[in-house]
Amino acid sequence: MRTGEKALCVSDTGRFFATSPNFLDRLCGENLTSEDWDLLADQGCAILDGDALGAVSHIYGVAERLTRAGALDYLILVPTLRCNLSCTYCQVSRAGLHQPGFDWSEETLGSVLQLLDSLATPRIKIEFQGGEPTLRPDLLRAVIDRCERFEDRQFVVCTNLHELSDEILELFDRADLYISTSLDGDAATHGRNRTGGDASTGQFLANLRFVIERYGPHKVSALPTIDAASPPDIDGLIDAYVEHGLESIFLRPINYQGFARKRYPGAREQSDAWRLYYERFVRRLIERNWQDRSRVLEESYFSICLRRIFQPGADRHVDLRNPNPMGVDYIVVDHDGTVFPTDEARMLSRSGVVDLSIGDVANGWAGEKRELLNRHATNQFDPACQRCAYQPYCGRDLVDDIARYGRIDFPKPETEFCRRHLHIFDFLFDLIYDEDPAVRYSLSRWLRLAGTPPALGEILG
Amino acid sequence: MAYAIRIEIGESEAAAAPTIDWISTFYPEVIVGVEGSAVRLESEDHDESRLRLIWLTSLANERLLAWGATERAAVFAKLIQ
Repeated sequence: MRTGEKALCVSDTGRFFATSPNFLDRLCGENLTSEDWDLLADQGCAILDGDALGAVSHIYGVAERLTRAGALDYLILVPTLRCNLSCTYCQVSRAGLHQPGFDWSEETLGSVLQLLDSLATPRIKIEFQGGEPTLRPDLLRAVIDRCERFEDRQFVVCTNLHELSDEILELFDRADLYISTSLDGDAATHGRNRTGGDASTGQFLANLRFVIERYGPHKVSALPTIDAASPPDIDGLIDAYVEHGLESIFLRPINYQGFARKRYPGAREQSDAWRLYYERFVRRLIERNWQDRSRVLEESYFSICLRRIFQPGADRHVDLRNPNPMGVDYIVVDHDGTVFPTDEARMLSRSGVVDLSIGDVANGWAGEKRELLNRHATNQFDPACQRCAYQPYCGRDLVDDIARYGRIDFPKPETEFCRRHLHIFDFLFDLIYDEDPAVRYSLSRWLRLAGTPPALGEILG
Repeated sequence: MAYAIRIEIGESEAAAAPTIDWISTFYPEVIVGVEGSAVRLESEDHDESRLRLIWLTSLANERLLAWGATERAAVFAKLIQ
């Protein structure tokens, strides 16, 4: 572990315990006692001879850790690339408000609707992205109407909330529609990064207040984009969310693409400064949760990683899973009908770095390119991942490796994906073994537990 | 201040060589070298007890990987079926 005299042992099923150097000595010297073996077997970390149930349980535990991508039931749709704002860090995923040729054509809409008709799943999740998707409420409406046949529907509109027309509000009124927006901190920070002038910032904040008052905070999520070089004051950022009744904050560092990455060469990697900020932010949330237990604040990605340790399969977060198959259970359909495996792949392609499109919505995307990507979609056989304690909890992101290094075979421990997750899991296990009741309280809430257990991790040997 | 430890390794310790390689990968702040029949670990960031823990953890990792390779492959073969 990162500090202290304990080592962390994790099995392929993700079961774990902390132990002492003496135990490791016995393990390496092949001198484990019968008591050691019994403890290991009790924890599901060893299978004793003749223990058929233990063997099956182990296989089941390993299987639980593996993603089994089902049929396509999650679409990220970009009905328009046009946007009514020009945020400082949005370089490739927008077109001017009045630029022609950046909205779905009639043919593309027809192909998207045909695709929806062809899906055999009982559930559908659709995320509308852009550009600013609310510029084309007619396209949103056409898609949503076509989904009525699905038993379980969820729509997310990713919007800058700059304009709220009656037509858009009518869509927002649906119980199965959620609103996702960006909130970078206080008004000054948000205005500097996104909205520009005071009037525009005021309009956004008024609209944010309006939708939260109208629908409640459960329907609205927001996330801040953080410049690690000059991050906002932590309490100021948290306050900006609390003020609107928002309890989940998904800290997102600026992810420069294409030309912007050339302009900011240091941006290929998240810095130590970012990791320090992230850790201070989470620790501050823990303090504030302990001080005021009327609500639970969380950093969304940290909670997702925590739940991957204790509750495999609890979240369907497509950015952290293993294997991470592409173009199977979710796809991105761009403004011209091109299909991408992920949104980052879309931006990477649009910035001219590498074409990661895998097809188009009219003609399909199950081609050679997708197969090639998917042959490398697991961390299971990577020599570094095989030696990493966090492999059962971690994932694989081919597109991120291509975006940063131009290749997928870059040594894993040197990739930003690996460094980021090593840091998060190191930090998580520090907290799991922290005896401070305030820490246990927050972790238990982030795990959605009813109570707070006396300990979250075992210490053996 | 730099800390260092020296660990004797037996000739039959097949896991020692990969352990040395992987310590360099996972702990770039630790300098690892071989001195005759011993391994030397040196670092400005980790004291002697931490260096010993790093060695033991990494050695255990290599041994478990070797011992469990057949079992691991069998589990995946069953799951793929």
